[in-house]
Amino acid sequence: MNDTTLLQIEDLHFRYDSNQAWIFEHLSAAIPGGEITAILGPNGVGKTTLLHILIGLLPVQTGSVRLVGRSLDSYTRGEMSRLVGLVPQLERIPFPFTVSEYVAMGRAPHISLLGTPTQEDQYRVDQVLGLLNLQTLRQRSVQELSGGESQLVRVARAMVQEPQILLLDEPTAHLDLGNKYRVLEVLRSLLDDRTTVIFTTHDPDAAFAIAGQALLMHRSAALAFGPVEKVLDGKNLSRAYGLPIEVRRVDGRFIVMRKDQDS
Amino acid sequence: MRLDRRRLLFTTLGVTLLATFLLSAFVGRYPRPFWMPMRLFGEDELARQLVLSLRLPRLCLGLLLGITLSATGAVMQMIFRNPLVEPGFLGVSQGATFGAALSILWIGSSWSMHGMAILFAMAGLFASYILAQRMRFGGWVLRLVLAGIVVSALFSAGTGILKTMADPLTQLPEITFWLLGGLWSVTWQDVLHVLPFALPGLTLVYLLRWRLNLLSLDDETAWSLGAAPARERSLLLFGGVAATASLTSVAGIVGWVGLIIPHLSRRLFGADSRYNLPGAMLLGGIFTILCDDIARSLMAGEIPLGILTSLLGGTTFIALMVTIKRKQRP
Repeated sequence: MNDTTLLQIEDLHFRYDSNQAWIFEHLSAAIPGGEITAILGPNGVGKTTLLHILIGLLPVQTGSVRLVGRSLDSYTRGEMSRLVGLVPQLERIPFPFTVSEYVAMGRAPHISLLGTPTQEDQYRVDQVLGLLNLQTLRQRSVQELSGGESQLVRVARAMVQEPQILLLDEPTAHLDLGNKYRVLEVLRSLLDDRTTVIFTTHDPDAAFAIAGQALLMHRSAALAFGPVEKVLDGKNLSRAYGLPIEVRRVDGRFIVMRKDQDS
Repeated sequence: MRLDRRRLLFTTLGVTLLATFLLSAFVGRYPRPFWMPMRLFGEDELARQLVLSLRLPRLCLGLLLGITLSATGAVMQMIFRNPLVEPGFLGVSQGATFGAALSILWIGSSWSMHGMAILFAMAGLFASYILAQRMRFGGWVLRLVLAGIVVSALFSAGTGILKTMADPLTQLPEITFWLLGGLWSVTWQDVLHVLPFALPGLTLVYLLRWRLNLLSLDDETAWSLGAAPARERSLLLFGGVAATASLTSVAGIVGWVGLIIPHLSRRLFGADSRYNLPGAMLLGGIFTILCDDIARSLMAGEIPLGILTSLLGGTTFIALMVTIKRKQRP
């Protein structure tokens, strides 16, 4: 483990039931701090499960996960929630909270069990909403937002949490092209205050756009981990998805496409 | 919502509750229907006794009942993430009824009736919870609803059996009136019996009101924000149900308050429980006291409170549902 490693995953195994096959096994990666890491892989390979382990929602069964040099188990709930934030893929919010009320819930790790948000917390909420250009939505109901707005509001909720590591589960899924790049731009801007971003995605384009590192998972193990251009090459992607895939570089940008059958 | 508007609403509701409480001490059938002149309180010994030992304990209990049902309703709606849930949900009401009927039949003291109602309300909650955990299909809320229906039906059948065994002249009317809900027999002693359960439960719910917002979110989000969703939900559920069961043991089944008042409060204060929970407590107090005023003054005989709350609650619910804004779900 070198100095920049923030999250060290070693030989991690996980399964939901001892009678079932492993969701993943022998998973290792040293994720550096202050960078963006993308996790890719086919459906069912355990990307969301991995995020759930990283926030402590699921236990480390075999292997080890060390966060800032300490074993994940040694963190209290409070410490974890001030260190790691999560934006799940889908979120059902059953009551019409206003955007401001919803984002303020992100302050919970900084508020005691019996406390309520203070003016300072509200100031942080307004600041983050301003940063993401969402001020005009402050009093709107979260149930009335468009897909893109909703995703940004959820990112805002995780940002006011002020975590060192922000985990996002498929942050660009179901978004149109404009909103996809808006969300990615916001994630990239998080690097300015040294937040480490880890996100899962099915879209190599999103990984190329903002990530420095990529973890490619395949058949219950890590296929490759390292700089995004090296990990997401034609050979690895073809193996992961079981299709002939090529990655072309055009004007410094990477384009992923299926290889023509006849070429 | 603007701070000024919220403050104005709270002040208005607080003053209304206080006024309703104080004025209701003069509402009843003595010395004539509906209103007792205030000067009688100083002049007429019977009037003074009536207010101090009959109407005041009844008002205190009505206030506690309204506050508890509304607060527990709001808590349950939030933690089950379903606006159609109410405190009697999950076998709580039917369990309490069964416990009370059992006590009326075989034990008879007022303490035992409170104790048995609370015990069986908790048993209903526990049984529903365990059953929902064991079911092998459907989402968590669906399983809870189904388990609640089954447990309620079983307790209902049990109460039915007890009714057939009850003495038709003494015990059966007591069980029947208890089922309809009412505050006619409340004494200061009842208020004292209820307080040790109601106050801690209500205090807990009030103090954790902002936390409730978090618990209405998905588990993974709540967890990532530092909450322990299962443990905190159980704690709030236990506090709310203990308070509700203790009041049900005195007042019987009083429906609709816990369903309709949280909706009304959400309409006024928005979805944030930090404000709508205290709002629901104030509104619940006002609503229940007013219903009880009608119950004891409208006719020569007492109208059971549960009938009035269902009548008024049901019509208010219809009004709320048809005037609800498009897109906005309660």
